[in-house]
Amino acid sequence: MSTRALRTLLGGVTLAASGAYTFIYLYRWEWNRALMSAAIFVAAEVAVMGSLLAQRLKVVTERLDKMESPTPAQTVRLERIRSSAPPPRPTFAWLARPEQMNVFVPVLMGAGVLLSGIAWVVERLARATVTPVAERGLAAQLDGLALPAHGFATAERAPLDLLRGPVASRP
Amino acid sequence: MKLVGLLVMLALAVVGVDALADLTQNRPDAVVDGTTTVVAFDVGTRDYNGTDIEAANALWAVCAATVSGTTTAPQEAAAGGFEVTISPAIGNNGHKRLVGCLEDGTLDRVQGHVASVTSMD
Repeated sequence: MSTRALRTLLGGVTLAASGAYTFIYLYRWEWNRALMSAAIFVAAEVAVMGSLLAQRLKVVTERLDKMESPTPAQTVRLERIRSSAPPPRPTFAWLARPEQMNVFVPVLMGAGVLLSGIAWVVERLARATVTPVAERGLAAQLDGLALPAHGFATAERAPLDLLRGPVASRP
Repeated sequence: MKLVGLLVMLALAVVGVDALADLTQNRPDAVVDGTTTVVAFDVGTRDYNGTDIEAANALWAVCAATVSGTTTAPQEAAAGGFEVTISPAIGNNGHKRLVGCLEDGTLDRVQGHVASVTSMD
């Protein structure tokens, strides 16, 4: 007897017996036994359903695998394409050979010299242009703090004289 | 054909539920004054923390509530086991409830076995 048949038989017998005894115990007014029998029935039902679903999933999976597997003609063509494909070329051929790794040093040195030159030019240009402009702007902003051209004490009294100097300096 | 099968299944289900309802129905029994019922039962224990009479008393304390009337405490019978007397006598429904309670797994580690239920006028 196969495992599948044994499993089905066991599940069926358990379901039938536990279901029948649930009603028998109900008839006998033995509630605890009826509850236990019903619990066994539910457990057996879940097990049987799980087994059936697993079986169906296995069939579906096998069918999908069969659908996705290439046909013999496709397999032959794939083999020919793969066998006749050119060998892959390295993207940087000079890096593929370790004995030519010293090329890196001059390249890095050249790039460093070039970048240093560009930085020097930028620095010189900034020094020549930014500083004078910034100084002129600062001088213009300090205009508001400049002393009055004719001093704080004048012969003619202005309305704001009271705020500009001490009261004792009045004539 | 499928409809006939469905109707047959439906009829069987209705009949089954009705039969089960009849079998498990519960209703008060007719009370006849002056009658008694003697219930003879025995207990089986497994690793119970007490004697058989204590187990019988504990089981009866629970199951006496399933019947109406006055009940006595379990007394050891001459033929072995225990006897209780219920007055007035219990009817068919009370008989089912009482026997079901005594023989069910009502108490942990205690199993009751009803030997006889005798009603007398």
